[in-house]
Amino acid sequence: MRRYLVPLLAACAAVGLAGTLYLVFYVTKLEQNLFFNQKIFYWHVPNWFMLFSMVFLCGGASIGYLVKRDPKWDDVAFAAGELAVLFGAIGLVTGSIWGKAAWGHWWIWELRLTTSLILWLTMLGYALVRRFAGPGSEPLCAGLAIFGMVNVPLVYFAVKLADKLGQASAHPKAKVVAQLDASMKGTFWLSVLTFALVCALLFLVRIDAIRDARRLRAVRERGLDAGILEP
Amino acid sequence: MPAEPAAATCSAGVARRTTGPVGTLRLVAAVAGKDLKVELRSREILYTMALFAAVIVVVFSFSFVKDQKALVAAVPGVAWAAVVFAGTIGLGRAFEREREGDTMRALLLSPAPRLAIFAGKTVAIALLVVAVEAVVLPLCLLFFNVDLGAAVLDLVLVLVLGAIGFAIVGTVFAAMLLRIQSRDVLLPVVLYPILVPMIMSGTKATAAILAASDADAWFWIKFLAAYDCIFTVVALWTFEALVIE
Amino acid sequence: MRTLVSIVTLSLSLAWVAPVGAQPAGGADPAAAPAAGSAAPAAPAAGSADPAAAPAAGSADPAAAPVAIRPEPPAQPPAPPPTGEAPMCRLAGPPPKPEAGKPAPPSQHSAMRQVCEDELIKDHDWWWNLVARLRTSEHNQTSREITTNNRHVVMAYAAIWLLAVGFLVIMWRRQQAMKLEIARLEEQLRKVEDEDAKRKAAKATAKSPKDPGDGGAA
Repeated sequence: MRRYLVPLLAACAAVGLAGTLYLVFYVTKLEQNLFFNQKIFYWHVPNWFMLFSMVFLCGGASIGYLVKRDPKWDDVAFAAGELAVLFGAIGLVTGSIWGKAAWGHWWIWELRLTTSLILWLTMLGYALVRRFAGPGSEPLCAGLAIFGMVNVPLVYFAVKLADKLGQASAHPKAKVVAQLDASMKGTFWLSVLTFALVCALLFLVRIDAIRDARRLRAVRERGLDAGILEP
Repeated sequence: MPAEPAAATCSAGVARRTTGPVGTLRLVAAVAGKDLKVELRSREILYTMALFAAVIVVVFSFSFVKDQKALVAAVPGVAWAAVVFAGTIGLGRAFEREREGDTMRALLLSPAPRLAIFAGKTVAIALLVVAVEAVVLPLCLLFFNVDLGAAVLDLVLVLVLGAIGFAIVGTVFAAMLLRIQSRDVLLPVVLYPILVPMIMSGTKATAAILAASDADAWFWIKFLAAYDCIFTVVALWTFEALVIE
Repeated sequence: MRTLVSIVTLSLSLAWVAPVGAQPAGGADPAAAPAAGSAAPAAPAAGSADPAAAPAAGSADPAAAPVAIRPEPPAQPPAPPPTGEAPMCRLAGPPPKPEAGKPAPPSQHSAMRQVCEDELIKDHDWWWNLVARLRTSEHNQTSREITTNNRHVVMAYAAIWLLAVGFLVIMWRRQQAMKLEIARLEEQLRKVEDEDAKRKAAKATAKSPKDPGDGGAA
C-alpha cells in the first residue's frame, strides 16, 4: 500500500494543479478591486496555510522528540521544517508581488507580513542548523522549533498592538480572505486541497530520504566501530 | 526537619541547606557568583563587550547625521542594536570559556539541579549585559544630544528588562550550541528571530520615552515584562530536555 | 516549584498585556474619527457616524483638490465633446524657434505654454471641454491597463514554479550524494569481505599439510 501512495499522490496533485490552473484562468470571474492581479490569491493563500501547518507539525514533533527521544519524531520535525522554509519562501515572494500589484509597494511592515517574515527566518535558521551543525544537534533544533512556535503569537500581538497605538503608517491592511464569490470559493478550496496534496507528497518523499540518510549513518557507525570500514 | 547538607557552600565550614526554594536560590547565587568572580579577575569579556558597543554607537551615530546633528529618531534602533550585538559576542565568549575549561560538564555532574545552574548563568549574563547598557546609554544620550531628566529611570527599566529577556533566551541557546560545530555563526542566526519581540518592544518603549508619551511607554514596558515571563516559563520547562551535555 | 513559578509568571504577563492591549483599540478609534471628520470641509461634526462622513468626504473631494489656476465652473453644463475632428486651436501653429546658440527651453517653461494658459483662462468653455476630454481618455487608458494587466500574476506564478523546481533540484542532488556514499561503502565492504575470504583460504591451505603430521606425532 505504501509503495503506491507516492505515485498516487503525485497523480492526484498533478490533476489538481492542472485543474486549478484551468479554473483560475478560464472559469472564475474577474474580481472588481484588483481585476486580473487577484488571481495570484488562489495560489498565494494555500501556501500560507501549508506554512503554518508545517510549522505546527514541526513544533509538535519536536515536543514529541524531546519527550520520547525517538528518532522518528525527529525525522518528522526535520521534513516539516524544510517544507516550512519552501512554502514560506513561496508565500513571501508571491505576497510581495501581490503587494506591489495591490498597494504599489514591494514590502510594508504590516501585521501578517511581519509575523510571517520572522517565522520564516526562524525556520530558515532551523534548516541551517540541520545542515551545518553536525551530529548531536537534534535537541538544539527541537528547542529552536519550540521557541519559534511560542514566538509567533508574541510577534503577532506586538505588531498588532503597535498598529493600534497609532505608531504604524496609514497603509491599507491586507484583506486576504475576504467575502468571496461562489465560483471563487470553489476554486479557492480546490487550490487549498491541491496544495495540501503537494505538501503531503513532498513530505513523504523528504521523510523517506531523511530516514534513509539516518540508516546510512547508523550502518556507517557500526562499520567504523567494528573496524571494518575506514573513516 | 534537618536539611541534608548536599554541598558545603561556604568557606566558614558551616554547611548550609541546598534544597527547597531557599537552597535553590543559594545555588543560583553561587553559580552566578562563580561566573562573575572569574570574569572580574580578567575583565576580558566586560571590556571587549563595552568597547564593541561603544564603537557601534559611534559608527551609527555618525552614519545618521543631518546638518551636523545626529537624528534623534535613530536613538532606539542604535542603542538596541549595540546592546544586542555586544550581548551576542559576550554570550558566545562566556560559554566558550566554559567549553575550553570543560567546566560545563563539571557543573552538570554536580548535585545542583539544572534549574539552579541555568538560572545562575542567566543572572551572570544579565549582569554583564546591564554593564554594557550602562556604557551604551550615556553615550547615546551624549552623541544624540538627548536631555531626558527624570525619564532616564524609565529608560533604565526598559534596558534592564531587555537585558533579562536577552539573558534568558541567549543562555538557553548558547548552552544548546556548546557542543555543535559552527556555533559562532549559528548563535546569532538562531537567536535573533526569537529576540524580535523583545527588540520591537524595547525600541518602541525607548521611542515613546524620548517622545514623552507615557501611556505608550508603559504599555511597551509591560509587554517587555510579559515577554520575559513567557520565555522564562518556556525555558524552565525545556531547559533540562534541551541541554544534555 | 516549576509549575508554581510558571502559573504565577504567565498570569502576571496576561494581566499586564490583555487589558492594556484592549484599551488603545478603544482609545484610538474616537481619536481617528474626528481627524477623518475634520479633513472633509463639508463633513458634519465629529460625533457623527463613519458611514455618514464617508459620502460627504467623497463628494467634497474634487472641489477640495488643489489646482494652481482654476476658473469658476460655467453656469450651464459644458458642451459635449464633438464627434468629429476637434477644431484646431488658433495658437497651434509651429512653436517659435529658439534663439541662435541657445537650446530649446523645456516645454513647461516655454513661451507657448504661458500663452496657451492665458487663452484657456479667458475661454471657460474651451477649458472645460479640454479637461473633460483629457479626463475621459485618461480614465479609459487607466481602466484598460488595470483590467488587462497580468504582469504581476505572471511574475507570481513564475516565482512559485522557480522555487518549487529549485527545491526539487536540491533534494535530487542530496539523493545523488547519498547514492555515491552508498556505493563507496559497498565498495569498502566488498574489499574487506574479499580480504577476509583470502585470509580464510590461506589459513585452510596452511592447516592441511599439518594434519597428517598431527596424526603421526603421537
